[in-house]
Amino acid sequence: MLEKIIVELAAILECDPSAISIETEFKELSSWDSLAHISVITMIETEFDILVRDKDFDLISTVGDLARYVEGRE
Amino acid sequence: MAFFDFSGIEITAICAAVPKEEVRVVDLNFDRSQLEKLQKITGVETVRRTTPDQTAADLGFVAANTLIEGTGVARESIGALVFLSHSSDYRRPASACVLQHRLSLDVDCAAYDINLGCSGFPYGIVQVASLFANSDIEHAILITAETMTKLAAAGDRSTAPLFGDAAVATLVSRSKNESSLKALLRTDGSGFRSVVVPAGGFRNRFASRQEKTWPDGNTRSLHDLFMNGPEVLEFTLTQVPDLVRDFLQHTDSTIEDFDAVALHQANLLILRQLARKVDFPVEKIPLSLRQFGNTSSASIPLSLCNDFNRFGNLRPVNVLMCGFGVGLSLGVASATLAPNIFHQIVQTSEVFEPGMLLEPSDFKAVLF
Repeated sequence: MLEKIIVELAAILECDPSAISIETEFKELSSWDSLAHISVITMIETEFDILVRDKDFDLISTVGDLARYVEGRE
Repeated sequence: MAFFDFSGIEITAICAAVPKEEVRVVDLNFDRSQLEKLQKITGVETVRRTTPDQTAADLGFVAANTLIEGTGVARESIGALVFLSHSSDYRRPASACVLQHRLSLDVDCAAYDINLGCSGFPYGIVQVASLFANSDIEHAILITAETMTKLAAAGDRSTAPLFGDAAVATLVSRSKNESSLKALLRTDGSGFRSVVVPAGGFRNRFASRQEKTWPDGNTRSLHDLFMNGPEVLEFTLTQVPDLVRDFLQHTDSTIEDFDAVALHQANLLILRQLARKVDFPVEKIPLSLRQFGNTSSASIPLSLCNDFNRFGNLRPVNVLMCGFGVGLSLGVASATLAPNIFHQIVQTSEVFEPGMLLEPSDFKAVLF
């Protein structure tokens, strides 16, 4: 699941998956914007059938946080 | 539950009008690669933009007048005119009153405005259909019209490349056919901040027109449209599928009963997600997004005008129509539509010159 999130995140943020790790604070990357935000929400919905609530997403910083959130909701 | 079921009433003609000026999204004043990326997600390639003096009512006039001339419906037989838009010509009077005059409709005509946006088409249909219940009205016209390009700040990447201007006139008529219109309407006003033009009303009458950089990084003034994309996305992906499922359950129908699912053209990403969540093929959605962008309350009937041939060239088709957005407000309606009710989309730059009240000298001297 983590690997899937990293691959999809890299595609959204237009970078190599090797540039993203569990510690990456993806919202701090230069390519992060509202479009990426919406793309990540829909990616998680499509891949894992989980809608990340906006208030929950505000509390997510790293890729690990996102993976744990998905794991907790699955 | 705000569920509506009408019989003996049908949609008998739909005519859309758009401005002549076509704007390519990639030509807007933003980083080209960002625009191309945005375009892949929104699906919007071009939008139509009104001239500075051209209003939603001007577009609505052309749509309604073309509809009246095209169908041959007698002007004196139109008993109601409802103008549904957030973009009225004046703070008062209602644009529908001016349009009653412009369209040379009889004084025996109820005319008024409804102040709604993206959810407007199902609401407008319910409102117009309700007028038939306790009246002798034979025909009514609903105009759904919006000029979103006037509200999207040029420096706002979240709105400027998405929205376009359009108006659609829909003729609703008393019918002896076994026709039925059904609808379910909902509202979640807790999200009123998610899509908002903060100034221009009476809440903040003296708001500055100065543009500033907002927390989302975009530049706009309080008189411009603000849209919180993630909040709108969450609302849409939670409440719209529930609305459609509840409607289907209440009407004892399934999504397979509908040949076309006419969704408000929010953006391509949202349309795809809704199709996935409600479980129908995305090909069932009539589209106008690519050529015209998100046109608010006009988008459902505009998509039907633009793309109906794909669904029923010769036969009537069952259509589910679902609008959602600013309010936050949402509604779904179903109807059977015949292919011969659609008129060619008209392009116009017409402006109602007598309506240009710009100076005190434009008014007749009245001595008190």
